[in-house]
Amino acid sequence: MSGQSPSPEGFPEAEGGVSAAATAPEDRPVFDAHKSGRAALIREMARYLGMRLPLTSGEEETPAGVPGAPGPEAAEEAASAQTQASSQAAAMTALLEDALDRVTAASDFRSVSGRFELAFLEDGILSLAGTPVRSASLKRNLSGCTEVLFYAATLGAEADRILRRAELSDMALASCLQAAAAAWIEACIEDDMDGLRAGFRKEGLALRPRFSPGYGDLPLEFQRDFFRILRPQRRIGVTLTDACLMVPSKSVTALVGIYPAEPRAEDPQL
Amino acid sequence: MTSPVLSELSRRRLFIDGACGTYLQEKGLAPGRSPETWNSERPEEVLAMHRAYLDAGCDILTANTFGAAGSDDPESAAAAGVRLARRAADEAAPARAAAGKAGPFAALDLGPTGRLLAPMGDLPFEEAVSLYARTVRAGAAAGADLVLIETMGDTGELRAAVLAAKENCDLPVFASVTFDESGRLLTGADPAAVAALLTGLRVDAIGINCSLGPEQLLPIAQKLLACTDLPVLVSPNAGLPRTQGGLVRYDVGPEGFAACGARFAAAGVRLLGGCCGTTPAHIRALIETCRDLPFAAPAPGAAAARPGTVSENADVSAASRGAVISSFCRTVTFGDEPVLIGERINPTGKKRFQQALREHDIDYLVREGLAQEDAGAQVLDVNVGLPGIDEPAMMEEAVRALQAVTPLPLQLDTSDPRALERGLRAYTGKALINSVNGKEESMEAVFPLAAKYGGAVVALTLDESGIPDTADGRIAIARKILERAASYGIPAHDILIDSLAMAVSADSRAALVTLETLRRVREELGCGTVLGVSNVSFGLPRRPAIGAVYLTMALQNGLCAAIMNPMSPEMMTAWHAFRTLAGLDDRCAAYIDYCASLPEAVSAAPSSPAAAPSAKASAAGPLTLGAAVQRGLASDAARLCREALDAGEDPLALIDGQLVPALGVVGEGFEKKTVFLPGLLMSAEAAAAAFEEIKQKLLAAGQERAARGRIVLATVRGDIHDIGKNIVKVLLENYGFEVLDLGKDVAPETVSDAVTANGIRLVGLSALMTTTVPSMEATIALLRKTAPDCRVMVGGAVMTQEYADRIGADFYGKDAMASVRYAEQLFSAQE
Repeated sequence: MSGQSPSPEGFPEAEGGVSAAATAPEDRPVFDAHKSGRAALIREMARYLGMRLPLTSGEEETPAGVPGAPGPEAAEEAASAQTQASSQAAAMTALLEDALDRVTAASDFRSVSGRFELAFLEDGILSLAGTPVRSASLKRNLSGCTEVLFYAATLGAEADRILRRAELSDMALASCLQAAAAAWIEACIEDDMDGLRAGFRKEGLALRPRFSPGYGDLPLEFQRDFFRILRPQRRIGVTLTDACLMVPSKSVTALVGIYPAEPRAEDPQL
Repeated sequence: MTSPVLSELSRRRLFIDGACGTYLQEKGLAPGRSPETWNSERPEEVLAMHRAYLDAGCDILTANTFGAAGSDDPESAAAAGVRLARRAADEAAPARAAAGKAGPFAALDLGPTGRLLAPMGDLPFEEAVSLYARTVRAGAAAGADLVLIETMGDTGELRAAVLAAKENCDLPVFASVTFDESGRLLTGADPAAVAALLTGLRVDAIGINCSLGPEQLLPIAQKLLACTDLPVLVSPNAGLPRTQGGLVRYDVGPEGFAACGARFAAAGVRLLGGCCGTTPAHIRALIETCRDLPFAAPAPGAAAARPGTVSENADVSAASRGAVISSFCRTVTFGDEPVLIGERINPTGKKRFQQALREHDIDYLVREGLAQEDAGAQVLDVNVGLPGIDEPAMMEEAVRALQAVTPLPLQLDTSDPRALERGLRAYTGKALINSVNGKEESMEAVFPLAAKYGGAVVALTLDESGIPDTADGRIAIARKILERAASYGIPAHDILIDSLAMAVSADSRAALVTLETLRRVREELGCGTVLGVSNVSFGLPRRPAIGAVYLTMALQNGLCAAIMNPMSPEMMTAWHAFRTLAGLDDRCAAYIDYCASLPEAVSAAPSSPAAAPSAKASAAGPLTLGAAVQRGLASDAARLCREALDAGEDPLALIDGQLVPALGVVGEGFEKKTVFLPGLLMSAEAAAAAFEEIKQKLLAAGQERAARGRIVLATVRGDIHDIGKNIVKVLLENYGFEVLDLGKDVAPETVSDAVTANGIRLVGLSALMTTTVPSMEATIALLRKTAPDCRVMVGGAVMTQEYADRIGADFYGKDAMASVRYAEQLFSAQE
């Protein structure tokens, strides 16, 4: 795995990127109105934590994270062990819910993006905003594109702070906060990208899927060029360390190819 | 001698220029290239920009040095940029003089470095100070008239820039920050916190710029104006930035911009300019609209913040607000509502705390702080003085560790001026200093530090001749201290008088004298008061009962802040009851909430809110210690362990008979994927709570639990995320290993030194990123030389068996349990 900081214990860490316009407040995702909804976010968190947790609202009694209890039929084998298992599952669910609430309350999602020149040079070299890059996988991702969008987003500094705090006082909560932050930033970005896609569609343009420094053979060190070009430090406060880590840690950068949409095609990327 | 720019600012409103980056990009500066490069490559374009803004009528030119401190060569970038602004300003000076105006002035412009300070980021505070210092020295030498620090989004970096400017030149310093539409900096500070910080650092003007348009900045500017008597500066963007098809646009034109400018001027803003998206046309319109608007003369007290000029007529408006202290993000005001200062971070009389200090267990200290915050403390007292401890270094470390996780302001509690200075320098905010007293030596040591770094000061009413027996005597000392503070430019409202709570068991009138002094300080001196209330009960049985009544009496006599134990139910009940009876608790809501949170109100106290359902569902027979650990019920595990110990059970038998088997079941469950990470960690936390009880018991008996082995853990250099390492640490400690945690971003030499100094046989290294694996490899290579017998286990998100083999590690831990198993195997084989 050469990519962006997957976090310890295999949590998908945010990927990286930056651009030049902060999202206006009315564009900020609002938790309650979020299309993916709370149950889906909890499912994502469970997935990140490697848990089998087929929870939706009204299924609190389903033993989750408990060995040998994969489904409702097992739950029916009522026994005192079962009672304990389901109370543990309920505790686990409560922990996930609590973590999600804390992360959404602490998060201050911001994003910034900028539209730059894209050129395909000889020898498989790409030129992004005038900066040469050699990456076969990025080239594949951007083939057929006419421009490239540099995109960066973050959950902000407070999300990091509650994580550090939990690492000192409640490590179980800390692990769930990591998962919640990963799920939440992905959900926020998806909403945000929907808005961007709609804007480009008006110009007859469409967007490729996101591609982050560290994916495939695009080295993580490309982050340095990315930050120089988009300058997310200035707009959304995402900074880069010497080792190319982003701070705040719950941040994503990505390159997004822009290409002419097929006439009358609904939206090839959705 | 006042600088020309400040004397001009005391006479009229000054105007600053507009955007630089926007202007130069219009002229062809490529995206991704820093504007400073044009100082040498295209100086004529930079000069033309300055001239255009001068033609528009501006008084202050910001040199093209915004990114200098973050560039490869701060000196050259600063010097080249300032020289161009200087030249343009000098060209225009004769015409201005003819019109009866001073200036125009050239400002050395300091923007953010683009990096985030440690511990969130990887830029050490002193390194940031040094980058700005180099920029400031070069800019001052090149002829700057003032230093303009702007677009700051983090109070830590803001402090670094201001301190660097103050320490390296005599020029006036203006400091401007960037708020978002919620009125906060990127790292969370509100206008009051920024004002407290910058007023404490004695800058010459404070301001806001960038991020928003004039419309959105107006309410934020009004908040700032209400918090400070310093001149306020505002440079808005030309509207809210808006992305259109991937390009940034600003929609407010010159007329709209100027119209808003007039509203800022009317609100009392004394410096106006423009930020992103503004052009010479915006600035021209702004000046034409605002030039002749009435100019509010500086408040009489404004001078009070300048060194050496304070005194009798100290600023009335600020004094009426009472002392304000701040953390990196919020303020606490000492005034009508009493403030609770938590006293628990203090080793006096606490064996466990002393042990933590000796073992350099900073996490223990921070947890004491977090627990007090949860219990209702509004400020945390920090005392780390203990014989044999390097107090200055420990104070700095404690301050940095606490402010990384708690938003509460800190009270630095030390009698060592070196420890005080280290703490103040590290502290991101305006601290409460505990304490100064009436002795010459004390005032000479403490007041200069308070004057330099900012801070409210606790003043003890004692001096060379001891503690006066009478209120008159104590008031006299308080007066002496206030006068002395004023001579350092520290206003009376930044002093909190401590009239000294003495043991009533030693003198039956002791409490009354203190209370009388307290009342008279408020009535006669008009300044705030603070008291460490716990001392009064010294030597008496049922101390909390005495303490609680005394607290109530003190509050009734005008106490502004109580230094007390927020973990004491008696004290907290008195605290909440007083607030309710004093009319400070709307509809008694806080009192009712507090009562609902008391242990007797919560039938089974869960380890965390999330664990509550488990605790309630414990119907199936009585809970055993082992079961509590298995189910991750931390407070139950602690309680059961305490009960067993009190009943005379052998601590080691509890470990072997209950805790170890329970952890074994959970550990195996994790390996079989029937227990997941949060469950494993909940059990680990529950076991840790039980171990803590055992530790206390052993410590009280003068014993220690023999460790199974000592292990060094570190996240390698360059890596600043350490949750993985912290998870491994919690588990290893549970399994009986002693962990020397070196933290994150650790240099190979530091690991090697710790290993050789402590005879360590196992090191665990964590790396999160591909870019930091080379640091891991370097650390292993060094250890092979300095400690060939030491084994190295590695883990972390990017790590694989293949990677681990390639860099020469002895073991790859695919998860935290695997590390525990390896340690068990290694140490049992070696036994």
